[in-house]
Amino acid sequence: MDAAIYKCPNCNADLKFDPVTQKLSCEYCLSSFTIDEIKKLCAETENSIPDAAEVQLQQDFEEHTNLYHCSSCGADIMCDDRQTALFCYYCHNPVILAGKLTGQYKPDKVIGFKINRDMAVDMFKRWVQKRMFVPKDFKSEQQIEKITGLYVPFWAADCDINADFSAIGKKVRGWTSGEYHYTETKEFRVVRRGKIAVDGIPADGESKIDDLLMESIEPFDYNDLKDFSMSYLSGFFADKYDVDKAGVFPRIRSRASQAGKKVVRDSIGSYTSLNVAVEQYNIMKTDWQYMMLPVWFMSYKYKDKVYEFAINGQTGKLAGTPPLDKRKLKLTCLGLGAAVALILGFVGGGFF
Amino acid sequence: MKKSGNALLTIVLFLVGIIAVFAADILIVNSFTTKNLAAGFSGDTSDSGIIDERGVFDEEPSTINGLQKRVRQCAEKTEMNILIYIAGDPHYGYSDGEIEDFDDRLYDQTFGEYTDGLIYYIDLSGQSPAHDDISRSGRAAMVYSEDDCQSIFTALDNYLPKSGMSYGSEDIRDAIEVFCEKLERFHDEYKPSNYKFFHDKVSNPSVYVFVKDGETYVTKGRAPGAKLIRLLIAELIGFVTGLVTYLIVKIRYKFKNTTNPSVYVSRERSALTERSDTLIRSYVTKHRISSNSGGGRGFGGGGGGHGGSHSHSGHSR
Repeated sequence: MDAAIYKCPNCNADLKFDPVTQKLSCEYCLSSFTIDEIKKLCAETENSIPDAAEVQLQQDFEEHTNLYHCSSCGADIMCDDRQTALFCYYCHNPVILAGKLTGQYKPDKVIGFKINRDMAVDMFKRWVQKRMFVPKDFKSEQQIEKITGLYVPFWAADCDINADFSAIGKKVRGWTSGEYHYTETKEFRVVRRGKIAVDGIPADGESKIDDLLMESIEPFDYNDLKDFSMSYLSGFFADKYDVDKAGVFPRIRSRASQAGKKVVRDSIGSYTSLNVAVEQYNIMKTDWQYMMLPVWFMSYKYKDKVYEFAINGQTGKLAGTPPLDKRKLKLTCLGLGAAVALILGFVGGGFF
Repeated sequence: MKKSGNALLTIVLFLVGIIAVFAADILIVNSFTTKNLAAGFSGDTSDSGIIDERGVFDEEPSTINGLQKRVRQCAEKTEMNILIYIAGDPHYGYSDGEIEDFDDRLYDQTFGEYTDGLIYYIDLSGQSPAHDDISRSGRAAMVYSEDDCQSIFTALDNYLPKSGMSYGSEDIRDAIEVFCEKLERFHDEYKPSNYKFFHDKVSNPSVYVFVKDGETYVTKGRAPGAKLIRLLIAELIGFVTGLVTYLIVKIRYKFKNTTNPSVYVSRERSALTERSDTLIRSYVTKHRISSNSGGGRGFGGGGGGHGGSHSHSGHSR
């Protein structure tokens, strides 16, 4: 066996040979590959020398991007050198200029904002209007001012999944004839195997923003994906990723498996019961893209808890956890309960 | 530590709230009392006694006189009108409802409406099954509960004849003696409560009988106990309404579902190379359908409305 060190095609960690399975395994993301598979995959993904245009873009990025650091919550905010970030989009504390960014943080792709600030504010107002138990100042103009146009760093993964599914399915039907009830049971061996491909499953590379919040405002329309250019940052903030590919891979794997499972399960007809013997979704290959996706973001601190609200800056899909003013809710429920009791007491004859 | 302190405070506030609401309920139910129709007990025991329609003691005047005296003594002690009616042939074939109507009318004619007392109907008409009845009026409805009356019937089963069986006058005499003893004992054991009540739905108009601060009330308006029950039910429904609203709102303020990742599946690049549903076995089971048949249950109708208020306890021999 040769002494070459292979990198995991999924998360880029070092692969180690497992004598038991005779495969190269990744301790980090638990992927495993045969020697032949890994040789083939490495040949396909061999790094090419960056062209001159790419080098130029990287230089532009390094020269024209300022990095600001929030000493309160630790957020790192990028913006182009023509604007100055004064406040942290997350905790609303002042930020300080921390320096320039290196080229490794330059995104490959970007989707520009299609929802402008007025539209985002309008959407937020309509969303919050339906919720009468949010704290008063959550709806205030001062709070609405904090809605920030933010490019969130995302890792998007194209994965090839090997699906292996085997189960015993039962179809049961019953009928009555004379004095007897008959039950017919048919048992089938259900097998599904094949390759499932998922394109661009995103996972945000920003640890401060809730992952579920970002997953809620998906999907982004990748048809609008463009090569990154500094001009997109103009007027908006951007986040520097602090979770790398390997860090987001468990989330990607989980979501890719969910997607694979859905395809397989959808292909199975209606059985009365399904006794699953084997169900495996192994990711064989992952291609990564680092991209900036547009999000209107707002956070609100209420009773020591941070509530986040986000709008997909491309599609307008919104999500968030509204803060609940429990005192207001309790008083309302108490009043409602008292009114119901009073009316029923009168109508039911509890008073006279 | 802070969380457990908050939970404790919530529990304390909740308990204080319950106590405050209950105290308000007590105040409300005792605040409104309608006109008291109760006629009480006149102190005259001359109408109390025994009516021997069956003629059990026709040939034993001394026995019947002794029993009449015993019943009046019991009436004096319990401060209630007491009438024992030994039914004979004219009442043969009376239904339970008819017996109850007869008792109510007889009592009201003899002692007046809403007075304190009772009538004990001993069915010796010869019908099978014989149906005894205790009809209580005024305070008697409160003093003698259904359990007390059933206890009396059970005790008297030792003396009164089974349907169609022969009996001697001494059996009836002993039964009356035991009846008076039981009445006196239950009277002595009675503990009045402001919130116990009897609702006579049959009387016209329907009335409530209850004892408040030692005084017997017969009112068309609801008894404090009845009002208290209604208030507590209304408050419980109000509490549940408030609680359900609270929980629904809390759920609505939780984070909603995330996007299903199946939207990222590339249909063009995905293919199931093996896709089979192979029948491996098939079998049929059968079982006999069990059929159940049961007899119906009949219910007798009650009598019509009457003037005074009475509660009944019946017993078949």
